[in-house]
Amino acid sequence: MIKTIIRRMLILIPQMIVLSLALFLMADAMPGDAIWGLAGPEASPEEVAALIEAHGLDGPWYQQYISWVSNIIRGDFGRSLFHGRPVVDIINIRIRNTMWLSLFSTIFTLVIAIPFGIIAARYVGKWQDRSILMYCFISSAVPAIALAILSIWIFALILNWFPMGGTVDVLISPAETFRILLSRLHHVMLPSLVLAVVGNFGTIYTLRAQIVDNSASAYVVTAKSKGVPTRTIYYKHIMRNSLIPFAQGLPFLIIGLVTGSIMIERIFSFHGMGDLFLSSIQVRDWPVVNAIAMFYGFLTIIGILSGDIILTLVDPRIKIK
Amino acid sequence: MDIETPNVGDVKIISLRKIFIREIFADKLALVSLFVFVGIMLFVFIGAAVIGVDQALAFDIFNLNQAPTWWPFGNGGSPTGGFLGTTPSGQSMAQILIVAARNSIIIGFSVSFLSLTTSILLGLVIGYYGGHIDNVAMRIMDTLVIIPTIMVMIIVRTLMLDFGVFHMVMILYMFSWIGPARGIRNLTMGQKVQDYVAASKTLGTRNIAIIFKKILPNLTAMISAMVVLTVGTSIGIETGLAVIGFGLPVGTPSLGNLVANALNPTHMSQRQWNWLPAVILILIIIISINFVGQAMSRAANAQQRLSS
Amino acid sequence: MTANASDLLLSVNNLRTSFRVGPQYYAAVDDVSLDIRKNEVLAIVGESGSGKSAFALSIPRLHNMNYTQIEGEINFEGKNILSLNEGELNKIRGDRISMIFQDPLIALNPLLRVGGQIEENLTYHTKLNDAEKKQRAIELLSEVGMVNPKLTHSQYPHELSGGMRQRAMIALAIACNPDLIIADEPTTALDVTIQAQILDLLRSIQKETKSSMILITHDLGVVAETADRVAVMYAGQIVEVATVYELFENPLHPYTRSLLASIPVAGNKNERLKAIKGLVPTLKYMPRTGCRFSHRTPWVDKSIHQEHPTYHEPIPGHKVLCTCYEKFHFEDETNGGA
Repeated sequence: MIKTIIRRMLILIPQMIVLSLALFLMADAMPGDAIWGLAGPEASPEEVAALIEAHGLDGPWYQQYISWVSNIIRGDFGRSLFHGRPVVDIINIRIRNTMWLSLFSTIFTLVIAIPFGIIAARYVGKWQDRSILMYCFISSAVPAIALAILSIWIFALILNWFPMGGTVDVLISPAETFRILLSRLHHVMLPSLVLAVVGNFGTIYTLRAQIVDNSASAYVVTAKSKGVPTRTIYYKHIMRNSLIPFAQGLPFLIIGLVTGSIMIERIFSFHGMGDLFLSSIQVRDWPVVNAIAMFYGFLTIIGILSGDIILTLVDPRIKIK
Repeated sequence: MDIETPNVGDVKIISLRKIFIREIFADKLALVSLFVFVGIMLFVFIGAAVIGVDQALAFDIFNLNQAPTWWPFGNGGSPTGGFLGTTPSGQSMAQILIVAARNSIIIGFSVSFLSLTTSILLGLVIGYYGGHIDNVAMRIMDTLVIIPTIMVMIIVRTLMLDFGVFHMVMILYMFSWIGPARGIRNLTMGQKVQDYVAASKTLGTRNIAIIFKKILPNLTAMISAMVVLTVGTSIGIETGLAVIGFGLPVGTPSLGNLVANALNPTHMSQRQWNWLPAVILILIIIISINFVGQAMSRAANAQQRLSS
Repeated sequence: MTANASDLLLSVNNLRTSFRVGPQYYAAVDDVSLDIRKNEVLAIVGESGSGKSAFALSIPRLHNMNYTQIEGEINFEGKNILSLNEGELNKIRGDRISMIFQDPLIALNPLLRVGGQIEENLTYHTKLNDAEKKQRAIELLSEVGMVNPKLTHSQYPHELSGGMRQRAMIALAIACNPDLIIADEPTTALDVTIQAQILDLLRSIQKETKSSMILITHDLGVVAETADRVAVMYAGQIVEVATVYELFENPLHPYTRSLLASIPVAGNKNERLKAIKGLVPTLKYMPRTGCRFSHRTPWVDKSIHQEHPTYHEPIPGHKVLCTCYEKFHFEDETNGGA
C-alpha cells in the first residue's frame, strides 16, 4: 500500500519535468520582454545587456533551463522582471489570499452541495428534487463571469451587502487585527459564493445519483431482512457507500476551485494568484508567470494523486497495480 | 386458432427520430428554448447583415454616452439614446449588441464544428482500434487534462499580435476537442463489442466502412448533443477570456467584450446599458442552448438504452 | 388442505401483491393461500414471472412500498404480519424470519466486512457484547463450512468465491436461529458443483435446527433433492400443492405435467423435447379470468376448464387448481390418455 503511494508520487517527477519544460519553452518563445520595462526607454544597449546578464537571460535555452530548475529546487524562483523583487516574495501574499478564497469556496460548496444532494435523493421525482435539479442545471449553464458581474451589481452595488471588490478594506490600519479579519471575511464572501455556485452542480448531481442508486441496491434489502432499522440502513449502508466517490472527487474539486478562480479574482479585484497571473502576463513578467503556472500544474497533479489515494484508502475493492 | 400470447416483451422498435422529437417535445422547456435560440440566431444574423458592421461601429461624437430613451434611473432617458443607449464612442448599443451576438454565435458554432470533427475522427479511431493506439492516446489526453487550459489560452492569446475571430476560434478549439474525443472513444468502445460489428466483420467489411457506415450513425444522437453543448461552453469561455482582457480586440464586437464593460466602475454604477443587455443576452443564449442540448443528450441516452 | 393447527408455523391467506406499472397496479401474486408447517422444507417452483419471488419477499414485507400494494393476511405467531408496524416488523425480521438471497455478490454490502454484516443481525436481536458477537459470527462461519472462519470474518465480499459468499449469506440468515428461512433461488447464481454443496448445507441446517424453510426455485432437480412439500406456481397462482413424492409420481395439473415432461431424460434419444408452447404472460397482460394455463394448451377442448377455477383435493394432501387435470392430455396423445 505504501509502496503504491510512493510509486504514484514518483510519477509526479516526470510529469513535473514535462510541465516545467513546456512552460519554459513557451516562455522562451514569447515576444516582448519585461527587461525593457525595467530598463526603461532611455537605457543604453550596454545597460540592457548588463541587465540581461544579471538576470541570467543570456546563454542557450537548455543552459537557462538547467539553471532555472536547479534554482527552483533550492526554492529560488528568480526575480520578478517587473517588480525587481524575488518571485517568491511576490507570490507569497497572493498565495495566501487565493487559499483564503479557496477555503471559503470549498466550505460553501460543501454546505450547499451536500444537503442539496441528500434532499434531492430523498425526494426523488418530487418538487424538491426537481427544483434542485433545475438549480443544478442553471448554475452549470451560467458562465461564472455573468454570475459574478450580476452579483456584484445586485448584492454589492444595489443592496450594499458586500463590498464591490478587493481583498480587504485598505483604510483599516494593519494593527487592528480583528477588524482586519472581519474585513477580509466580508470581502471574500461574494467571490467564494459565486465560485461555489458555479462549480457545485457536479457534486450535487453525483451525490444524488449515488444515493438513489445505492438505495435501490440489493444489500439494502438484505439489511432490511435482518431487521435493521431504517435510519441505520440509511446512514451505515446508503450514505457511507454514496460518500465514497464524493471523497474521491474532493481534492479534485478543491483544485478546480483554485485554478478556476483566475477570472473571479480579476472581476472582484481580489489580490490572489490568479489576478497576479493575469497582470504578469500583461507586462510580460515571465518568471512570475512561470512560477504560478508551475504551481497550478503541481496542484493539479497533487489533486489527482490525492483523489486516487483517498479512493484506495476508502474503497476496499480497489487494488492498485 | 386464437392464441392470446402477448407481444414478446412488449418492446416496440422505435426510430431515432421519433425518440428525438418525443424527448424535445415532451420537455417543453427544451422546446421553448429551441425556439428562443433559433429566433435569436435568425434575428441577429439578419439584423447584422441589414445594419452592416461598419455602420454599427461608426463613431458618432454627437451622441456619446446617451442613456436609452426609456431609462428610468438617473437623469432619465435621452431622446437620442435609441433603444439601448449609446457607447462612449457614440455607437448605438443596440446595433453593437446585434453584431456582437452574431460574432459570438459564429465563434461558438465554428469551435463546436471544428472540435467535434476532430473529436469524431480521433474518438472513432482510438476507440475502434484500441490497443497501443488507445494507450498512447489516453496518456496524452491525461497529460493534456492536467494543463490549466485557461492559462494556456491566455498565454497563447498574448503571443498572437494580430487577433481576430479566426484566432479566437483556434484558441478555443485547442482544448475543446479533448472532452468530446474521450466521450466518443468510450461510446465507440461500447459499440465495438456489439453483435452487429462482429457480424459485419465476418462478412468481410473493411474496418473503415464499419467505423463510418455502421458505428458512426449509431452515435449521431450523442454527437449532436455534444455539438450543441459545445456551442454553449465555447461562448461561455470566450466571454470569460474577454472579461479578463484576453478576448477579441475592441474593434471586433463580441458579447464577451460587451460584458467586460462591467469592469469599468462608471459603467457598472451608472451606465448599465453598456453591459447589462449583453449579460442578459448571454444568459438567455447559453441557458437555452443548454436546455436543448440536455434534452438531446437524454434522447441519445434513451436511444442507446433501447437499441443495446 | 387442513393441517393440524399446532403444526402450523405460518399461514398465508388470500395474499395479493400488486406492482404499479404506469398508473395502475397489477397483481403478481394473485389471491394465494398457503400453509407452512413447522420443521418442513416447502419448495415453491415456477418459471420466471410466475410470482414466486414476489411471494417470498411479501412475507417479511421487503417490497418497495412506493410501487407495491399488498393485501390479504399472513398469520405468524398469532399476529398478522401485514398489520404490524415497522418496529414490530423489525423484531421479526432476522430473528424469527430471515432471508437468503439469490446473488450474494450484490446482496452483501461491498464496503463492509463479512463478519460485520453477520454481527449486524446479532446486534438488533441479541444482547451480546462486541466480543461475544464476533465469537458467534466466527462460529456461524464455521458451521456453514468455511475453511478458515477467522480469516473470512475479516474479509470483504469481493474477496470470497461465489460459493463462500453464499455460505456467508446463509450464516447471516441463521445467526439468530429463525423459525422460518426463506431462500430465494439460493443456488441459481452458482456453479453446478457448488450448487450441490449449498443445497446439502441448507438441508443439514434445516435438519439440525428444525426451522422451516421456504425454498424458491425454478429447478425441479433442486426440488427433488431438498423439499418435503412442493407448491407449483403459474401466473401468480398456486396451481398444485403436494408432497414431493406425490408430485413427481402423480402430477395432476397440466402445467406440472408439462414441466416434468419438458425435462430432458438421459437415454431418450429419439424423442423430441416437449416444450410448452407460448410464453408466460407478462404482468400487464395476465389473463385474469378462467384457467390461466388454458392459453398454453390450445389443443384441448375448452370445456375441461372451469370458468372460475377452484381448488380440488382428489387425494388427501394433494391440492390442484381447476378441473382441467381430469381430462388433460398432451398434444401428441389421444384424448383421455395419461
